[in-house]
Amino acid sequence: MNNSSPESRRKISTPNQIFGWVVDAMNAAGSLLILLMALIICVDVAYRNIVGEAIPGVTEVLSFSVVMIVFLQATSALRSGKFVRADMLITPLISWKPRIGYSLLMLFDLLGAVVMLIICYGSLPLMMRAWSQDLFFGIPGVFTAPEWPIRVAVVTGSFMLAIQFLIDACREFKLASSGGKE
Amino acid sequence: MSGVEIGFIGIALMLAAVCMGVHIGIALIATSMICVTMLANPTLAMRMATAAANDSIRDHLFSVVPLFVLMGILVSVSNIGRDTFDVMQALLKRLKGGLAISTVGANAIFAAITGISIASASVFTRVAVPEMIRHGYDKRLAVGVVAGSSVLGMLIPPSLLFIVFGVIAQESVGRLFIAGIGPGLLLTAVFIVTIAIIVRLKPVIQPFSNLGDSAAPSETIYSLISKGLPIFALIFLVLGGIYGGIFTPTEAGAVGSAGALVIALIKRNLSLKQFWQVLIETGQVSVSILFLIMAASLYSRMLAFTGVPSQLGEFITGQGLGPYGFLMIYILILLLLGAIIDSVSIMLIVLPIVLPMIGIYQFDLVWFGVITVIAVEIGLLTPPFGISVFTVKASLEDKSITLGDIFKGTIPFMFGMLFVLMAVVAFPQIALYFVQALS
Repeated sequence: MNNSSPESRRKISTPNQIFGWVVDAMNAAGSLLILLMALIICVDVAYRNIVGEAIPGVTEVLSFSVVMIVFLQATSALRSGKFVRADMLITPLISWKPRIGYSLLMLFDLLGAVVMLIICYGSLPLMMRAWSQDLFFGIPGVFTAPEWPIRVAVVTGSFMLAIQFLIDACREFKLASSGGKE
Repeated sequence: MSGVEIGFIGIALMLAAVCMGVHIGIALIATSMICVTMLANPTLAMRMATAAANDSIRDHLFSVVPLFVLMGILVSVSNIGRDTFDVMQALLKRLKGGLAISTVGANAIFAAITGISIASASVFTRVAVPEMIRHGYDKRLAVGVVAGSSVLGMLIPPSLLFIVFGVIAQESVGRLFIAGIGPGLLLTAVFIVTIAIIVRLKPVIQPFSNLGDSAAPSETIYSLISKGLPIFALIFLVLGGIYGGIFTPTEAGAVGSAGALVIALIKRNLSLKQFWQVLIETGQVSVSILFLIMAASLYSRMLAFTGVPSQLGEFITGQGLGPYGFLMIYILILLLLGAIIDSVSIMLIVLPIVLPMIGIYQFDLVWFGVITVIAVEIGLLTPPFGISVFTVKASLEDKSITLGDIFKGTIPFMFGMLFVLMAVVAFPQIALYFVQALS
């Protein structure tokens, strides 16, 4: 609303801001997981060299963590522009023909949203199966952990990525229709 | 349409999308899904994409990516780079062009504890460029030296690019690391010679430190040792640990991070807030790489499905192309792609096509990896897309130096890299000597 006072506007957060908090929280969890991975490896190295045997489950926990990190932090990376793209053609195009440039960017981000939604949809059955059949990974009797947390991370992470692509596409739609002015 | 035709359409489509500015990971996944749909059906396309997302990076080997990035960012905030530069400068300041040579030397040493070039580029832009300009160096030379020598970061072990190559080619990362030592030292020497020549040819540059060193604190033996000790301890920890059999190259990132953290804590230049910032940045950088690896695994499965690699191999041998002809074309393609996209993406796009072919020529995989990494690294310096140059620009305080200046400044160093690349092609022993000597 345009005529709302600054105070009331400050209280009501836009959906985009709320989404941003969720993204930041997931990102923080991922960062802690990286720290934890470093710690686990150091402990494993020390233990192996002192005691002479490996700690069971380290390999499994690490492989599990890599997938978790990607899907916890990918949305944050996309949101802060860390996803790799070549901008040598699109940047000059935007300053030359803003409408065409931003429309193209919007199409690219819509493509991103579609791709991530397909992955999210395809991963749903995997998540359901992991949950209902109590699937686990690791070697029974040595080390096992439930599999559903990874599947949940993939489904949520890819869904969040799709949303972020849609948010970007919306902004580019506005920029395209206004001819490049925010 | 035959599988091979679909495969080539897929590659063309992917390259077009990447050049137009689609996120590289998305371009890889989308074209793979389109190709699989054309070859089979949309259900299989979805199933393959889902499998790639869920399982392709589910391997403890990939933990090297975040951990080496963490180590790289930690050492770059912990002032180790500045100390190394101070030591080199104290030792070499009498030399003509001593500051520039110190920068190369410090970079070579720093490279032994960092595996990412952006870390080297940002550290030495802040440390060495102001110092060189203060002593009357040409601005272009100053930024060129820093951007050029930052490539040592990913050639001298540890190196993120060797890790990525090792993961894709299923070659031992430890062996690849050793193979980087020879070419890394040669490149350091070539850079030093390049600087010595430039300094003699251009009288405009005043390389003598005829300014009294009033601003820089004079170094004593004691201060030099206290500044040099941490980095040598860290190098000893990382490389000694790997080759002493204490831990694997995969684990070196974690141990090195711990070492860098301890040094930063002892030197008291890392607040909790900064440390958190380091972790956040680590996450974002490594996730963008891991996402690419994930996308590339789908793309390489799609390519294998179309039969492009084997067809291309038959075609190339059918042309009677010798091993050197093949290598020249390969290097040319890497250089062209290097001008447009980043190093990791190039390797992920090209290697799935090329690796099945190298068996034909019976190339040594480690040697091929070194050639690939050097060629790809030249792309760090070439316009329009040169990550090292962008990093230098972003870290510069002197905003009057333009991107164009930095690109021009790196040209002599780019030729130095080309020279080393050709030397490694002609004399594989440069890369393989240490591998054979140590195994």
